[in-house]
Amino acid sequence: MENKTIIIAGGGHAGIEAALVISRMGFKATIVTIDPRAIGRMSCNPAIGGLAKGHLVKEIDALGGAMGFFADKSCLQFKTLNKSKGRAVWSPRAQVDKLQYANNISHIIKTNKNINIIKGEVVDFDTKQGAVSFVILKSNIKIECSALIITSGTFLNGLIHIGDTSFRAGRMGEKPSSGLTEALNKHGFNTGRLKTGTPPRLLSTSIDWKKTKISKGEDKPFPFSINTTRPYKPTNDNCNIVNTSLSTHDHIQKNIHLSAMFSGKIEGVGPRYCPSIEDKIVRFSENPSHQLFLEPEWKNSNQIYLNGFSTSLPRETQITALKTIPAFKNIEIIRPGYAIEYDYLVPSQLKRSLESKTISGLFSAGQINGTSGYEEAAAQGLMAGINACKYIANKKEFVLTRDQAYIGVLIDDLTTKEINEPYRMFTASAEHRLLLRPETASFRLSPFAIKHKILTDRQKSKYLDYFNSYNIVFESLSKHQKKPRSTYKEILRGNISFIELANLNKFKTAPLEVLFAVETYIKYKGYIMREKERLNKTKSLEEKLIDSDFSYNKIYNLSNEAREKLINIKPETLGQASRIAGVKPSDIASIAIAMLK
Amino acid sequence: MIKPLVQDNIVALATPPGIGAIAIIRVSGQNLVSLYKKITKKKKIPKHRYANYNSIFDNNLNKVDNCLITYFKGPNSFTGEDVLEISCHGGEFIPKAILTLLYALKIRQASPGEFSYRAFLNGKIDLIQAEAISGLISSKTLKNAQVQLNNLNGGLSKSLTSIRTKAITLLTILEHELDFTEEEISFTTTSEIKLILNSILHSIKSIITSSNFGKTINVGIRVVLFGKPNAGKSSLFNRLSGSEKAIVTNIPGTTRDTIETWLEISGIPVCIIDTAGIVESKNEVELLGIQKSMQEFKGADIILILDETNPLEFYKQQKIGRLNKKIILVHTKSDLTLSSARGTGLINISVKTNSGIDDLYTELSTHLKKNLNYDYAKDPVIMSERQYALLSSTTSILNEANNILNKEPDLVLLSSLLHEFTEILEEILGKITNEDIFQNLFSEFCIGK
Repeated sequence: MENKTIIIAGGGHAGIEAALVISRMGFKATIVTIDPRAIGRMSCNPAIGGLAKGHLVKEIDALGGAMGFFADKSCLQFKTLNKSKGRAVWSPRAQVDKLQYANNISHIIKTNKNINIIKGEVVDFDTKQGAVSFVILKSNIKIECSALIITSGTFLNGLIHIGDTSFRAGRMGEKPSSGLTEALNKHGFNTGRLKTGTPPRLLSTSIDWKKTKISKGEDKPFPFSINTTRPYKPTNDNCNIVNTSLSTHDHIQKNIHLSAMFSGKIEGVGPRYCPSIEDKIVRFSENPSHQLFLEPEWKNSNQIYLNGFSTSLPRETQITALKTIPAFKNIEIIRPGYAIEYDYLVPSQLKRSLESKTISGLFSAGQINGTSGYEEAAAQGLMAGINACKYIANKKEFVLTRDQAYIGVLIDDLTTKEINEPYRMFTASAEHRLLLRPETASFRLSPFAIKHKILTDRQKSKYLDYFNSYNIVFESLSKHQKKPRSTYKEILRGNISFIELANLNKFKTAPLEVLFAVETYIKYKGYIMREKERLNKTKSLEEKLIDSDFSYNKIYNLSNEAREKLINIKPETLGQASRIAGVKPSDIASIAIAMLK
Repeated sequence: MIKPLVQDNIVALATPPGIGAIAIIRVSGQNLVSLYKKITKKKKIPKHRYANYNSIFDNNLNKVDNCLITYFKGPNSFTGEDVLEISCHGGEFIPKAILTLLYALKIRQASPGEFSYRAFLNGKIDLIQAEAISGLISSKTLKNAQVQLNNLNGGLSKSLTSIRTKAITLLTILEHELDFTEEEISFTTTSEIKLILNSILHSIKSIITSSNFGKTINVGIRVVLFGKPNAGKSSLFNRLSGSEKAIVTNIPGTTRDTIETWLEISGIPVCIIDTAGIVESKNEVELLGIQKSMQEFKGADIILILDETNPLEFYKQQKIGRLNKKIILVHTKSDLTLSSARGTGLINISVKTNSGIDDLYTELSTHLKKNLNYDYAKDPVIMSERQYALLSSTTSILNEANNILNKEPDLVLLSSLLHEFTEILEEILGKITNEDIFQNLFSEFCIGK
């Protein structure tokens, strides 16, 4: 096992989780990165979590990942979003000190005995009998490896656009990576081009803070990580809000032809959900004002991230547009907003383990697979890391299904759907949200983590403590559930919440989060059962495995479009097949019947 | 059970076997042009949707018959595959000879319902339409046939699809809001959601109401004769059926078993059931007969209370009112009573003089028309138990969704219920793959459909 090294190309959020889980599983990882100082860097917003992404962070944590724990540790403000829409979609979000976060992560990576860091750039790889055997660095050095995980982020042929200037970069101030896309093409992979953007960073002292609204965080939030020490009381710094006005919009509208994205200079497709300010003004022209959030990038930072103002307008236009906002009358920007175009690997070429369908031992995770966001990257890195170890050990892959985790939804979507824009996690993408509540992440996933030996002893005992204390509370309440005025019934009626439970003597020592989880379960139980029934109806077909050499040509009543896509994508299950665009229910019926034979 | 093999070519006699002027043999599968050429010895490709006058030859070039062969090129055919419809001479021999010839060419005899099954798998029809085909074939009345034809043309499917579209639009709005923070977009108001939900519930309920009509024209209604022994039930039964099916004597308790006959009244199939007279008896056979009668009353739609002296009084003595059925009081043997003894609110009949029989028909017909006043040309009709059971289960889901809206609106619960709802609609239409349903449904078909 000694010389069985897994090489990870890239030290971003995907690379980190991959390396750490490989180490926890007792294997060796080598991170190859262009700049070792940039390990764990947060290249865009100074926040972790948010809608659906918060769910991902909880799940990463339940599988022993690092993101949640370190976000808790470097948190500047904690908030639960979507509180008005039902507990299953309550989404934790932490404003994070970027510097502290990267420092902490980089420290544990660098001090980890199983992780080795090499400064360099992976530009190609060799295969032996259909499996990855060597990586080739730009310096022409060849390194032997037993598996390769590509986590190159936005660096592949990265091209930054600001107005009409563009230059090659991985992100601002960092060199791009080139050669790997061409190598992937040479090995038979399809790649495409995507675009994402980032807003300008403002100089704090140039902002008239009195003219902003204050946005407060929560005093006693539930942290992301089960391993974070309780009681959790993070710094609760304020964030601030300003609004754009019609004159801001006018100004941008007048100069829109200067925007790299609107002048037709960018061929990559940008995300609809995280639109640039240009996009917002054009597409939601009826909206007289948009909110912009002023987020400190680190503690007492002089650099302010202007969330909501992603743009590729020229620097000067960005400044003049901002100056229409009263608080920004004298604004100075440290770094303009920009758009970045990069190559991605069409992810339907991957199995659900994130291993290539054609080359064994080749994995990819993160933005290279067409996703956006730290959380999506980390989740994939973790899964790719686990499966790279499984691959080396010649064990069955570890796959999460759509009803087990948002991670399952994410990877299933990536491997079956066509990616037209950077893929972002949405709660709406999950069919069984009620079963994927954030407070149940550890109940859902930690048992898998224990089974697959992904947790450290400390993580495992933390989980078992949580699990036991949940059971004690739940059983104590269910014992009397039949009595007409039992606490159980009162919870069901909505008369008692976890806050009142905490005041009861017998639950004094129970963690508040446990009480919250129990209350939620009792309240939702009827609906959860319904949801499970609905799930069971389709489960057997959903999980029916399709042989990789299944011949779609034998079934002549498939439509041509369906046949072509099925042959191309080679879905692993009947459920996956049904989610491919253009595959109709009658096609699925035909395949199911052909499989009966 | 239909074989999962879907690649091979199938054949079946599509008309009933036996003596007849012509018979039709239907073939479905791949590349039937070559089959056409082989059996007709023609070189030209037949024209799509045209009837071609041909002779069919066997392997030894002996002419088997002169036929009209209509060629449908897939996917523009009933099954979505190539189809040949061979109209040959009827009778015992010719169709059999052609079938034998085709079997020898490795064309398999179709399983029951296999043509429709293939049409379904090829997306030519949905499940409701498949059920309508089966229903249309077994239709006994014009009304039934018209409704089935309406469903085959997509009547019910269209209504359900449009309800489904409404639900999905609502889901799209809800799910869209799940993924935006409160600051970004304004929440669709509860009253707006309620409005859409209620309109969905209204449509569903009105379709469910149609099931009563659907069931009636499909399985018909049951009219049970009820009365003391020797009240004249069997005489009336024979009169209505126009036969001597029931044995009529003067001995009370002659009818021991129940007997049925079918009539058509106002386009509705009506089953008349003669029962054993209700009496206290120690005779075991008679007791069994009475038990059987009780079962019939429970399953009846209309009960005719027959009595030769006072049907109303007799009715009051019985506990039959609890069954909550439509009751028609019939005063029998009216030729034997004085007209002054004839009460109102009842029908006086005499099988002997034939008086009052028309009144009874009119009464039944009025009742049927009143309860089956349904514009089936315009409104969709549920025609199967499967459709009814699934659709009825959706009302509780929609009511639950309303409850949630009345409390703190939990969007996740709401959308979970709406998903459940749309999935049931999809199941009715057969958009959800469920092998058992498909297999069972199509195996009820006869061969050649």
